[in-house]
Amino acid sequence: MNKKSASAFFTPAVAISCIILAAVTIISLFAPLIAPYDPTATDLSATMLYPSREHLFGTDQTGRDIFSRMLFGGRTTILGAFAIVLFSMAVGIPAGLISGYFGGFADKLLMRITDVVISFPTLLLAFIFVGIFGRGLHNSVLAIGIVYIPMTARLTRSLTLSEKNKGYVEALKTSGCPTRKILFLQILPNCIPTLSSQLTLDIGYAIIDLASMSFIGLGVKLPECDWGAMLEESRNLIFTRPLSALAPGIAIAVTVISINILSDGVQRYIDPTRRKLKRSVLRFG
Amino acid sequence: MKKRGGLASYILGRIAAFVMTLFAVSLLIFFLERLSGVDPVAVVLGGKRANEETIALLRERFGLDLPLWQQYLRWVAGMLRGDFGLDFNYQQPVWSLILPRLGITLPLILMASLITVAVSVPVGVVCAVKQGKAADTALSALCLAGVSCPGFFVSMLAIAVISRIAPSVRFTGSFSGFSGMMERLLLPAVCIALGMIALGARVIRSKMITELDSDYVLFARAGGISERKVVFSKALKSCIIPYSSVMSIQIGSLLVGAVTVEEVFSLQGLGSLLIDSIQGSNYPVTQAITMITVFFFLLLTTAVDIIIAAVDPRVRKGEASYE
Repeated sequence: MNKKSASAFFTPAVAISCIILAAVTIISLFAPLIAPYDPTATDLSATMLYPSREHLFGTDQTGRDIFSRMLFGGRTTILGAFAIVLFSMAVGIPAGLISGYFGGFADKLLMRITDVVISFPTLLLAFIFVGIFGRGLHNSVLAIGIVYIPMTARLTRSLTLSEKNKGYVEALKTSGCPTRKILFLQILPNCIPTLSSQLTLDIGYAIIDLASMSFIGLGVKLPECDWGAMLEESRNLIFTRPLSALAPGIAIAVTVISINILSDGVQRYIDPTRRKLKRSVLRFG
Repeated sequence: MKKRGGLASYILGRIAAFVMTLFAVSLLIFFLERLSGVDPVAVVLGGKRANEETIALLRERFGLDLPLWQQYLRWVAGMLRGDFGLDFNYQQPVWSLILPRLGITLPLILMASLITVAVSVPVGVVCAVKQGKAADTALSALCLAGVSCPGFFVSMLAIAVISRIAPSVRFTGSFSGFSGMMERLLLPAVCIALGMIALGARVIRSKMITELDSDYVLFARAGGISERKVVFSKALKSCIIPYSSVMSIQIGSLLVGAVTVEEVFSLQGLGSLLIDSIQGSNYPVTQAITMITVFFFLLLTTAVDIIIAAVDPRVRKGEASYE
């Protein structure tokens, strides 16, 4: 990235989003070091405290420190979302590359399987998986990850289709380069710009989906906590202590908004049709 | 007669795909449920003790004495007659559990969809026409926030704010009469609609900006057609296709997708019945709701795809797609 294009990418909004996301990531990685209290430790002599220096966000009905729970909840939500997207990439990208490059039976099979998975709207399939294999963070991550695979696989496949007929692939083939290397060292790197924009977006969706699962009681189970489960627990505080009740939701919203701004920025940067827009404004004055 | 790229063959292909997908989904859901290893008889008994005869009787009643593939065929044959069998908890027809839930979820979806279409199209058009100006910047920022906030958070926020401003508003009224129902469903519908409005407006905005930059719009303008006509009768037409494609997926997902918002407003919709049935291993109900939801989703998206193909020949020839 040279100087000029870097300034085109880092608009003020994108820069602020990057700072927020960096902060959220660092906090979730180091939550155990930062958190002043054990997020699961109850203290019945200190329930429903208002925010103070000891308890930055106050305490909940069982005297747990809300600030510490926010940090650990964020850790679960953010790392969970990353795990979901990584899992969908680990399966979806190779599947998409192979089916796009070789075509034929493997391709048809992949497309039919993805058709079936995609015909389950939103998280229905994830709900059913968790119902069968049990609740908990690991199963929720796997279940949502499975729902995400088809879209990643299809995107990779369509990118591979447009790459594989280009001259450089022909040249590599005739020069005897092994197919494995063509796929993963030549075609894949050319798919990464478009994939990265989509996968950034997917992390945002994964945060919302994981929180939704926990919110309706099919996600994490005690003593695990994430922002969705916290929001569910604090529902009855909505009239008396709205700020404490809504804090996990605000955290979700701020994180996902930042991710979407970043993804928009990445897309603007890599997509030439978006860059043309400026010229059109000039043309019509 | 049937040439390649003809509308009739496209429709037939889509209907065949529709039936095949439903079949595959029915197989998947039926055999997935059996993987859990929970004994249906234990669910039916719900912890009560029973002697051998009762258990045998129950097995016969629910068809559990048959081999698995026969159970599957019985289930599919029943569905084709519109019969989803008996549920495990109350031993009642599954339909009698589902119908009252649909009576809440369907009006909710309908209201949310109407609100979405009524608001998102004008917002998207305004953003595109005023591209880069203050109105666009403000509305686009709101839309970005709208697509980023989960529905249940928006709902809780709405309750918190409204209860501060107008303490007299009740969020959990009765369902007495039409007006009572509207009163109860309006706020949840708005909360569901907000996310879809944001998404729809973004689709319209980005498509409209490309269209307003295209040659045919340039020629229309050069020919002296008023800007209002250019926007509404020329450019907007092309936006409707990707818009309806995105919206059919969104609305089709709501049957179960509305569950988080229903939960916040304590609405006993289809989603909460699904969650209960999943948590209670009540397979017949889970299976029935899955099939109904997938059917509704496929019906909506297939219908919209066919309409799009009828309008735009490039789609059915595979030269363009709006996914």
